[in-house]
Amino acid sequence: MDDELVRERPAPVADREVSRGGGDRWQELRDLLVTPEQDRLRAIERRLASPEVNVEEVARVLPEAITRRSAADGTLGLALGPVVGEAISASVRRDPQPLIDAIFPVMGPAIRRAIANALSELVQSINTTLEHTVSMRGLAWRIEAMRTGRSFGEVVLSRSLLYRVEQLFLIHRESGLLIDHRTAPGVEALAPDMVASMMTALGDFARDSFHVGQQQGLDSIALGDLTVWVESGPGALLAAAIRGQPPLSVRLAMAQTVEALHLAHAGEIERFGATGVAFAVRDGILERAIVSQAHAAPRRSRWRTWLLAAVVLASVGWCAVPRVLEQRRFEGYLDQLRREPGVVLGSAGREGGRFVLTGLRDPLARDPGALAAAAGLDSSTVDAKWESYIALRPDFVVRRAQALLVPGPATTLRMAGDTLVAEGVASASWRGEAQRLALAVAGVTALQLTGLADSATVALRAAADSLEVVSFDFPTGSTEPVAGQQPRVAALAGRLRTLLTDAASANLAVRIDLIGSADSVGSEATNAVLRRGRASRIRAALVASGVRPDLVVATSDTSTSSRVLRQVRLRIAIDER
Amino acid sequence: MALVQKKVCMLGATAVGKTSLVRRFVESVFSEKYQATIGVKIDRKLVEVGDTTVSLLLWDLQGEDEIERVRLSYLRGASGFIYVADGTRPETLDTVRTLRAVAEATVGDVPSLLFLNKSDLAEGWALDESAIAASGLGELPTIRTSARTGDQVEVGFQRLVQQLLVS
Repeated sequence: MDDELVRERPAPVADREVSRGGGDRWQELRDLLVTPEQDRLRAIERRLASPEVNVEEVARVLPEAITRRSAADGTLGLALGPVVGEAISASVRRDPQPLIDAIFPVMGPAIRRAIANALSELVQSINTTLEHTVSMRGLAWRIEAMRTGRSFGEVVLSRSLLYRVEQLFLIHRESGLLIDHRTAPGVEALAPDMVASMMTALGDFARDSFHVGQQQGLDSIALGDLTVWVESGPGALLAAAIRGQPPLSVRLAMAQTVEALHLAHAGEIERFGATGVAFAVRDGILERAIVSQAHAAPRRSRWRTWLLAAVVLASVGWCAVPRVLEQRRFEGYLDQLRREPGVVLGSAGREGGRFVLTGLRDPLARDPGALAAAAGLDSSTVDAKWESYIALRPDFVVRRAQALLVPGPATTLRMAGDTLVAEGVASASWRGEAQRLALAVAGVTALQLTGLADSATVALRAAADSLEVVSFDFPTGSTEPVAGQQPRVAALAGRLRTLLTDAASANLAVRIDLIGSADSVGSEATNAVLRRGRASRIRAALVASGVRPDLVVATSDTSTSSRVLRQVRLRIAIDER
Repeated sequence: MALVQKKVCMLGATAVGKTSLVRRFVESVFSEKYQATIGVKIDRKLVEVGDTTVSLLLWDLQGEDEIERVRLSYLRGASGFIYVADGTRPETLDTVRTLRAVAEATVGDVPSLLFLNKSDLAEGWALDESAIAASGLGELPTIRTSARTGDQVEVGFQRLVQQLLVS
């Protein structure tokens, strides 16, 4: 309907309509035409404005975008470089552990490999140096080193290699200017930029002099064991100074290097001609041409290392082993001292080659010096300071008590805790001395003599025992002993008198019982009389022989055991008064 | 510190004092015998301009009176030229002119400089402004130098380097 309106009315009229109020209809028209688009626009604006949707979108495309960009060029890497550095710093500051955990699997092997490499290089260099130090060739090389002013290592290196690329020149072909230069380790280069120019001049000279095509350059310069090989490319050439006899593989490597250089840096090589500013050659391109090859290490070189090691070990052993043995002997001696009774070890050590000891020693203990000799130590290497002390060990106290109290052979001394116990038999005088002196012995706080029998008593008892053996026999029914007893009675009396005298001097009371007994024949009454009578008879005989009457008692045998005896026996009791 | 390398050739007739002119101011590794044998001796001259160090690799060519003998190969790749003439011998200026023509034909128009040497010999001086103009070398920057005194040599190098850096 509105389209019709537009077609049928001429344009100005339509305008007038609009200005007059047909604006509403225009608005309607516009709305109809553009509403769908407007809706879409609004939706798009909403989406653009909403942050979550933005993030979603970016997250979706980010991985692919990164991949795409990093495949295209290195800008992304350059841009991320500092960011990655900061991220690592922040991570480490927050908590270093995740990074440590992440790197750990790599670091271990890398470090081990580096160490292994360094060690093997060290061993190899020691090997090589040894091999050449102790050989005629080595001496010759030393002379050469002194003569030419190079270091010995340099000469060794140069001699022990089959060939080695010592210097590498990357020269701009047209101007002869030096773009880059590398040297093998240990090689000193002399003004490489001027050398490069001179080499170019030489090439020019040779080309001019010998009617060679203009494109030709120098291929090689040979001087004794030094060869300079030149490989040319369109923009630059590579010259290598090689010592030794290089194989053709080196030329091949050089050709490949020249190709790689032109591939990577063709434009920069060309610009160098105009600007003269050198560019950095990509890593690894030039290094490929710095090659070297060593002589195959002969097997026999090993034995020198082994010999040297053996000599070193032997000399170490020569010095170390006696020392170790001596130390062990000393330790053994110290153990002995620690166990030794009456010896207390204080300090022990080694000072300036001598053994130094301090400690305490009881005079009764064994001589530590003698022990040292017994332990195999040279006493002149041992400085010992022993302070005296009194050990209160039981065995030492007993020894001191014995020295002081001097007991007789029948007396034994022992310690029970702090108490000195005397046992056995000792005289009363010794007893008295013991009581007086025992506590003067260091370590004795009490004296016990209960187990100590008085010697006098013992002797008396022994005598009494032997007297109790004596008996007198009687015929049946008689109170008179059998014939011939008088001498026996007299002897008995004598012995009894001696006994009593001894008892008196030992302050002991003695009572002598004479026990009369009868057999079972006859009546009990008769036998009782017999018993009493027999005992009395002997008593009277003894008293008549001089035994004190008040000490002899006649009694009857009251024991109900054997009734066969018709005897008088003795029983002697000894008591302390 | 940026390093810029430039190859510069020194040309002139015989006995103009070319080599002795620069001997004091350059670093040498190779002896003068190279000039007699292969016809060129390489020296290095370092010139500092602001932040930049310019290393001039000087190809001091053997002095030639006969232009045919000049080894054109040595001129290749040069960024600039230093011509040396003897102020007491006007014919050396003619030689320079011829050399310059050859050089420009070989290498093209590159920054150049003319040293008029032996300025210390004032009374023998034969080259005044008119002579220089007449030789057709008027537009070439010219410096009066003395090999004996070393007068103006550094100035000359500085000027050449400035021209080189501009081009």
